[in-house]
Amino acid sequence: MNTLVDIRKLKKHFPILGGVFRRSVGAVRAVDGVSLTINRGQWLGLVGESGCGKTTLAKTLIRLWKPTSGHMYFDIPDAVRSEIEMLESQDKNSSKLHSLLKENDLATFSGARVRSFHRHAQLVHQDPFTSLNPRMKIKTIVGEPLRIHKVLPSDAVKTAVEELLSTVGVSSGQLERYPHQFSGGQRQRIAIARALATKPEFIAFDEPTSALDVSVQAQILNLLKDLKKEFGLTYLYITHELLIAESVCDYIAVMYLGKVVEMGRPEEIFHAARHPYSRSLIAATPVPDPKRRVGRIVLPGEVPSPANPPPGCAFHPRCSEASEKCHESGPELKLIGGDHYVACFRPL
Amino acid sequence: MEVLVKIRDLTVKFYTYEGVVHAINDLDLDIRRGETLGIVGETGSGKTMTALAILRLVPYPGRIESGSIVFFDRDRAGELELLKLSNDRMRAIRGNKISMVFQEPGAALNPVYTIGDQISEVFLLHRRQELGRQAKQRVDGLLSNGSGPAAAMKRPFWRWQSRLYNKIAEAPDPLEPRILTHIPLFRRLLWRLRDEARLLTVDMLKDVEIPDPARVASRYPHELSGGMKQRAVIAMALSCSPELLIADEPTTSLDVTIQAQMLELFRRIKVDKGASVLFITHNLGVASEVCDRVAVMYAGRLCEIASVEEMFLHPLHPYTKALLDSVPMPGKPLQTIPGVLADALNPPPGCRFHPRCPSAMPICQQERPKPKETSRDHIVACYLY
Repeated sequence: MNTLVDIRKLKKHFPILGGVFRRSVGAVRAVDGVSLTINRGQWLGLVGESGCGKTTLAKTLIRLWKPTSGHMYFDIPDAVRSEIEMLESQDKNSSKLHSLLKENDLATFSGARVRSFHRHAQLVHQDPFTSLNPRMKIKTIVGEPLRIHKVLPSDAVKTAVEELLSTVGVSSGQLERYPHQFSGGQRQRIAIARALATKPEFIAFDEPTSALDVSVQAQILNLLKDLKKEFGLTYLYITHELLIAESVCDYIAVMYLGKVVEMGRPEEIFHAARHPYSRSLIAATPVPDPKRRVGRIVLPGEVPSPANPPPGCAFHPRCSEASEKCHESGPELKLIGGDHYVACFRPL
Repeated sequence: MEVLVKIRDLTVKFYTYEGVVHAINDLDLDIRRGETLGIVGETGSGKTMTALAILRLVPYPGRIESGSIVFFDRDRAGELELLKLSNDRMRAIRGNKISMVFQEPGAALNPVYTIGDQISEVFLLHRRQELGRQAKQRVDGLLSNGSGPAAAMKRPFWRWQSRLYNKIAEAPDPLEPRILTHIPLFRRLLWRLRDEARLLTVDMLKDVEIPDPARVASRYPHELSGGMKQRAVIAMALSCSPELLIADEPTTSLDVTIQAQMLELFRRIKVDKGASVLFITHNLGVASEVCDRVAVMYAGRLCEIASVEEMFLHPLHPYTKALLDSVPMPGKPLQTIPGVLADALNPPPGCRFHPRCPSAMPICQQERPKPKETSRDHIVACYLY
């Protein structure tokens, strides 16, 4: 399959400043070595609890933040990526490697390169009540990406905005309104229209429905499905609700404390999870079906702080299966069949 | 089953500049003793307002327009019409017989007092006589066990304290301690009450499975995680062993694994303390996990009440059906409800759901459907049945 996004050992650490000179005295390891690939046309679901680094991963991938280390490739041919890998294993300092990375590695981009990347990849934020500027009319909000990226001549912007809003189901009579005049679902539609404006290939959604009611959530999810089909989009969908991930995504990655602990197709994750964390996360999800009340695993304790993660496997203090080895070293993601990866020494 | 709270024809209106908002319309609801009743519905359906109306805490410009809320008190073996009680008597019920856990634990706790101080306050307000009794016992213990010159010197003071605490234990609001509490330095003479409350607080925190409760009691809210704060709020609500615990979206701001811990806790509370729980949530999954019966509300009106099994396996009201279909479930196409939520300022006439209802009939536009019991314990307000 055709790879669109390739993330290699991505890290994003936020420094903790302290002392008189505001020196860095530690780091919050929000994303700590994530490797992921997203194929063209895929709907990747990223699930995990708050503080596990889901949002940081998305914001770093869209290059709102510069990663601490690691590589990110967006729409780069396989041949180039394997060449970089080969050069990296041979000689880390070769000038050819540097020029290749500068050319292709999203993590090294800056300024205008990042801006032009934003034409192809967009982010939809979690809370539609804070992601839209309250002082701008919605025609300005949706038209802004078009003006910034100079996609269209200025006289064509208005019709384009109307068209965008009608695709997401906001009637054109509401162009002159301000965000506060819309309901939560409508605002999220406007935010989606803004993300679609530059005709990107890739959109990352950061919990787009967590602030919405169930019936509105269903409308938004159906809209996303239709848009994906219509424009051939690729999605990264962040959510903490596993039922959504299971019902809409093609592929799921489970994160815990800055690392991906398990990846696989929904049926593999939800019916044959191998990592103890994914299994208890699934068991903890309330399902609206009184017959499925049994078999809950209640995890003891809480998610540790990413500023001071436990040594070894980050999950071992809460894990019922933890052994000596888990206290000492962290497991790597390993392929265990099909598309199913798990990072655990003793997969269930 | 015995009824604990009986709500009849409750109407709550908000008088805003834009017009009158009909928050709750003619609500009939029974909460039974020892059950967990869930109220589910979308934003603006009047779930929280129902809870606040029971506690008579409807905020300005809202007003409880009409109706009755009858509370059957076990201790006094009598009926209390909550809407007709004086403010003082209502205050004696809030936090004592009926208590509430709010959605956002961070906002429900006062940031400038320690967790222990805030929970002790409940005991000091509602359990003063009991605290007085315990304090007296402690002073009496000192009187009988103390020996040596130091004890001999303190003895007259202890005797006076014993008499003082005895007065507190015997009458609800005796004169002498009441005068003392109004004089700045003398107020401190009642410190033993605070000490006793502190001990009860630590017991309470242990009850909600907080590790190291004595230390957590001296912490400020910002030092605790969301799950811990919610546990502390639950401890506070349970401290007077209420007969009704109202939980307003207690798990919405928590993570799934912490939510699972919380739901487990609620289930245990119901069994251990025998309290009825009114559980308000918009998450149908959570409702099916903890509730015995579920009520569905739409735009300030009740649509359907039934046991959980009935509600989730055989829903009758079109809105309940649509709501259940819009929950993402694997292997099932996502259904949406056409149209938008009814405007609370200008609600549609007749059945509030008729503009969005697939099986609306002419009569739905004219008259409000009366709640009807279709089978045992299954009440639905719809003309289809």
